[in-house]
Amino acid sequence: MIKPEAVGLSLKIRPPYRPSTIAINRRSALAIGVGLVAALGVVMYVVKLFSWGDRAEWAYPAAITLFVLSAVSAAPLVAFASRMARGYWALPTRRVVELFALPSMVLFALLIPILGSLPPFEQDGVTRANLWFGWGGGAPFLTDQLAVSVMLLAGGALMWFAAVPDLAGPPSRVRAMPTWKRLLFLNWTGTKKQWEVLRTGIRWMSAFYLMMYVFVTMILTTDLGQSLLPGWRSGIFPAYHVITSFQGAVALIVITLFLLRRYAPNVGQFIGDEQAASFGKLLLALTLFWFYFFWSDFLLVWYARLPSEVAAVQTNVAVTYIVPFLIAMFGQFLIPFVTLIFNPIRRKLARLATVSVVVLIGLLFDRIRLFVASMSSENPFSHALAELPEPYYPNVIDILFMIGVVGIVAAIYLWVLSRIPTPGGWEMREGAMYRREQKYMHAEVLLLGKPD
Amino acid sequence: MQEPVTVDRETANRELLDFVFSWPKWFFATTGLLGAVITLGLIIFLLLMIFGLQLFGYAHPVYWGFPVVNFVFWIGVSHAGIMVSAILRLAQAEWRRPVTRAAEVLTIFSLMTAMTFPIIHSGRPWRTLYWEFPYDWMRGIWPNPRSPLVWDPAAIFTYLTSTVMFVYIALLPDLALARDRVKNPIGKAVYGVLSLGFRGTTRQWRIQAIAGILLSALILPIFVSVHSIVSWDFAVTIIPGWHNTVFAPYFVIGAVHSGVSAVVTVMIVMRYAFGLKNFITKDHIDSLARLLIIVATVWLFFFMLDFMFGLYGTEPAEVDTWQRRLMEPPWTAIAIIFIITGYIIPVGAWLFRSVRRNFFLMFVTTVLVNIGMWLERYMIVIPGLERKSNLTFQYGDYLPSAAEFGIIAAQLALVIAGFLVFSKLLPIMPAADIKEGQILRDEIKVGRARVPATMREA
Repeated sequence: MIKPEAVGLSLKIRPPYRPSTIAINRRSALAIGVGLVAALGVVMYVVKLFSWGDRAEWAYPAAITLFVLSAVSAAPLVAFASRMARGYWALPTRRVVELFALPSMVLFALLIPILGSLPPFEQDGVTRANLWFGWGGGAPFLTDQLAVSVMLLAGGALMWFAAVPDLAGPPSRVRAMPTWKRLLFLNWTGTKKQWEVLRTGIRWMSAFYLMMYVFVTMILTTDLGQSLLPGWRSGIFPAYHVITSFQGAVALIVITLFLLRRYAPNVGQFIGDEQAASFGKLLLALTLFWFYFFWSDFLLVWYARLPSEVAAVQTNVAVTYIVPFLIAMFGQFLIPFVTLIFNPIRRKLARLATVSVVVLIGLLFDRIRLFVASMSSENPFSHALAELPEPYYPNVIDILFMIGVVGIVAAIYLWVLSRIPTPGGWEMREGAMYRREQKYMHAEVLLLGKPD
Repeated sequence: MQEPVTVDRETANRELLDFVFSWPKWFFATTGLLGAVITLGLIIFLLLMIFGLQLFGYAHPVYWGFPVVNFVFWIGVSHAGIMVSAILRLAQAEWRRPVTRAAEVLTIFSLMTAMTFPIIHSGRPWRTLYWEFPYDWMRGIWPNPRSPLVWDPAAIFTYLTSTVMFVYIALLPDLALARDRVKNPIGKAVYGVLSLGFRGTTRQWRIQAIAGILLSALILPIFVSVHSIVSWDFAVTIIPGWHNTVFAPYFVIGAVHSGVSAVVTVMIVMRYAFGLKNFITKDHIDSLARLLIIVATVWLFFFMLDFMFGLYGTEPAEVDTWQRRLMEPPWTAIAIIFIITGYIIPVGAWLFRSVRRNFFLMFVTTVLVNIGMWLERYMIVIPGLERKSNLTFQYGDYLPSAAEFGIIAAQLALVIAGFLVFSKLLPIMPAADIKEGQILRDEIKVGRARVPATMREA
């Protein structure tokens, strides 16, 4: 076990530790740079809107959208997992990851033109494969957007709910607030009842967010993926997408923690080797899962040799998109696997962050090979690909669009980081109550309290 | 509120070894009963060798019936040991300590039982043996390494070997304890040889601990591979209802669901039969039930993926199979019972703390899970076979015979008897591990409350 940062253990109940927001100088090179890239993203989005309805034009935007769904929207679930497992090591990171709920709101805007460009399920009496089985209700546009909206709202509510005790301040301040503001702060005065509601609420909302996340992944990966590429029928694919999303989310969190430790000392002082070691193990496990899920999918198609399935795999794995696939395989599996099995790499944040960058690059190319192949396919109404398609290459606007989306996400994250205190004060204080160092015979041990 | 029970070292040693050194009357009665059921199974097996597979309900085109369903089921139950033992050990879950040995032993006996089904399924096993051992390489007919039926024995034997090693390494300190306490000289000699000279030196403890952790990590890929390969026995074919890429994780998580449930069932029985009330507490089954809620929900997700992506392609044969599974008698009833007993009743009940901490209700719900999971395997295997041909005149129905039910009962008795005999000869609770857990247990005072705590090396 790796020792936690001493400053985290020494937090006191009285006077209580109160976290502050991160001050971001708007005139700094970082802020200006991120702002410019985000502005570029907005411009590119508007430019792309002129291609409304042209599915292939939205292929690369779909890939980056699914990338955001994977890495950014899955991040808050890490806080849920650590609360479920009562992992104290994750205490300083919970708020950091929950804040990703806000930047993932860009999904809503991104999905409008992408879903709008999808062909109908039925054309000239021919139906394409889909998960809605002829059910009306505006599928896939309305249904998918509705599900995404519910997921985003749940994520936002979860982020807000967990931050209320830190944002509300002392009871006297809350009582003096106007009614609407008091309601927004859940009339928080820190009574025992309110704490119980808060804990239960966080637990249930997190579980709901997880369910919505899995559901959204299932329908989006089918509607923007399998449903458009003839012959692609894989039950494991939504699960593969969820697992690789968790891998991407952990990689994104590691990079974020590394940057915070370096540039935001009020958060960084709590982040050290303990977090690196735990996230490192998690990343290694998820890397192995990548292989398991990919292989379970690939093996069956390879073995059964059904021409329609083989053609689909040749498209997004073996022939047409082999280059992005190889980058994805190296980025998501081979490089992280051969590096993360070594303790010195897994247990140091800087080294882990370097591997995480590779993982995120791999994830991006994985989404490109999967969703560009589908979104650019010529005839989604046939049952099998007549011949293998040519790769669909990005143009300058596609590349700028993808960079811009990353900029928008970063800008929103920086903004929310400057508005909501980080790390979560109440959980940090609680963690300090339940953890202490003591001597046991000749050894230094850590005592971990595990309440119900 | 957690209710940790602490007993002193001497009481722990005495109570944990009590069943090994005593001969309660119920032991003879139970083993006698189990022996009778196993004998029945042997008689059926003998008849099978005389009359062949006509004794079973096989009918064209269904030649995989109860034996294959049972094979999948017992392989599934065998996943309990590693899930509980290795994963929880790596995750440093303290509550695992009294659970691990029972789970590992259940793994061994269910694996061994599962391995008998391919032999039974072959009808006349000596013919299989005749053609296989020693293999006649001169004929130039090579085993097909691309067949999952070749991968299966490789994975299962590796899993069995590594599980036996895993159990044995964890057993060493307990064998030494039994050696030091047994009065019978023969017993002393046997335990002495088995304990490999374990004296409890610092070096021996260190090696034993490191070996346990290393084996925990090394055994995990084997654990995952076993049921994945069993799933590929089905999924690599293009039989409707079977050819789905989700099968591997779906089988693995289903196995964990049934295996961990079986562990809970066994632990509750052990608590009363072996007088282990101080060691198997409400906290333990509560923790296992919480784990099961997650496992069961993930399993349901994979079931839904199997169902939805079965229909997704709208291929007529696939749709027909699902229609048969869900809409045609008797499959409708089986499907309803399986989903109600496998998920709705148990998970619905486990959401309530009072149920999770009630031994009787936990016993009932975990038994229900395994009824549901057996039916699930039955529902996966048979309907696909009945409709595997595109030609309607080649459709067939399968009706299990009484002999097959007899085999099921005998195999269940075999697992229970194996478990019981093991418990009689060797400590079924890891005494050293439990005592270590008690040393590491402490409390933290927060305000006026005392919170249970655990020591970890800093």
